[in-house]
Amino acid sequence: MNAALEFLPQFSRSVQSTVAAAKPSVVAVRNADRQYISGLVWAPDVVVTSEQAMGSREQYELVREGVAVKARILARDPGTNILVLRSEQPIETKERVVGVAQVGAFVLALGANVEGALTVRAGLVNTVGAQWYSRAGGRIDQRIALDIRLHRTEEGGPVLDAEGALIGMSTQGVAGQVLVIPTATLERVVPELVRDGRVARGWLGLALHPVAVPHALRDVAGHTTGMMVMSIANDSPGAKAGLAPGDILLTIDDAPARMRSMAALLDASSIGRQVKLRVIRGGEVMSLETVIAARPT
Amino acid sequence: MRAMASSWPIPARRSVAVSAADPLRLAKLTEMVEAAGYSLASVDTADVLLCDGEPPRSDVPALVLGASRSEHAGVLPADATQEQIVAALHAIAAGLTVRLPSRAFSELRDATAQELLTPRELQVLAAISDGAGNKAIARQLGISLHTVKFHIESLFRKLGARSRAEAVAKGMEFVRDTVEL
Repeated sequence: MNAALEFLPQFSRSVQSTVAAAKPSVVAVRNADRQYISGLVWAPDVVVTSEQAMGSREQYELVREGVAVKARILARDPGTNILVLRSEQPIETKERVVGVAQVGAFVLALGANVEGALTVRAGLVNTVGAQWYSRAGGRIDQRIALDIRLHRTEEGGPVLDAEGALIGMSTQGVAGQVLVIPTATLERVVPELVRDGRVARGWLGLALHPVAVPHALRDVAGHTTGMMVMSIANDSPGAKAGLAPGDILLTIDDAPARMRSMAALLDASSIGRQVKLRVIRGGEVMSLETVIAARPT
Repeated sequence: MRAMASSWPIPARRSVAVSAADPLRLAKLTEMVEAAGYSLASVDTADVLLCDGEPPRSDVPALVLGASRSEHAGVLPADATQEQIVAALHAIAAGLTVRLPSRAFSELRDATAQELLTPRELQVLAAISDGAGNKAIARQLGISLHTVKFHIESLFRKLGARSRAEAVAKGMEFVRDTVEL
């Protein structure tokens, strides 16, 4: 057999051995009604999965090849789509090798079926981009999208490169696009969720809606867009600043009040920092001050 | 309407066919349907289908749990609660469509001043969705009829709407842009 004909069986065997070696990193996360998604075994007693795909039952089962152990939800962070479960008994796992996503790289997305047997999809890294913020305000270290589709039950499993190194956790994006929560984000967020039950973020206690600044006020405001205050949590930094519903927030510490910049500003390091808020109230621009608090759970 | 759903009388001839690959899941859903007062039927004779996963080919309106495609009469997540499933069955039996708000993980994006509504336009949109006419809106907001028409024109342009109903529907998506920070 010539070299070209030999390549395909070799490739196939190589993929099979990578998949077989990754078996200890996958489980099915199943509820009492036998609905399930896939999970990534992070440590012998910690499994990570997709926050958006999980319900909020008291009890779950982690299933591998028909063997189930009980588990419960330890913490969840919609901002990064990471949910952490604690297993009642240790699960066999293996040491994690961190992979880095390269555009065009061959990837394997692993999942599990209802009995915890492996499922696999193969594809390419479709795009790799800079860090981004989710609609729930979480920071994701890198934008990684794949060219594959996943069944809904395969969400939450590990995504591996050709060497079997962990690129991250699969997540359903808009219109069926499969995104990856990078291993760097998991390594940053999972230990914090296990330790504290939450991710520390800065908090103003405001429900805000982006608005266009009315034309008549654009000169005095110096901005064309702002965030209108819809409601204010009791005793929150927003309440202490004296904000009122209907106020239009223009800047925080001279940075324009926009969704992305505010999500970036309100990271863990912002807690306790005094900030200056510029707002429009009744057609006039005014300045207020407050101290950023920690987001309550 | 939400409050009424559970107390609606179910027309006697409404029957439901249940399909699920997993036998335990099938038993559970069947029990749920019977408890809600529906009679059971085969896929060929039922008025509504309740399917766990993709449904069999049929012209009968289907409530699908965990569907990946959205052409069905009703789509709920795989872990929908019993209350959600029963309410959705009532709605579909009455000829309505059932959808949950989109939940896909997505990026936080900032809209431009050209796309965003002004506070006044948001007030006008809220009044339109309450069913108010232009004169009522003018009275309610203390502005002239001419100004109301000006705001509505701008609102339609920004939302890409050609009717008040379309503006309200598109405006609903818009209102979900509220963030808690």
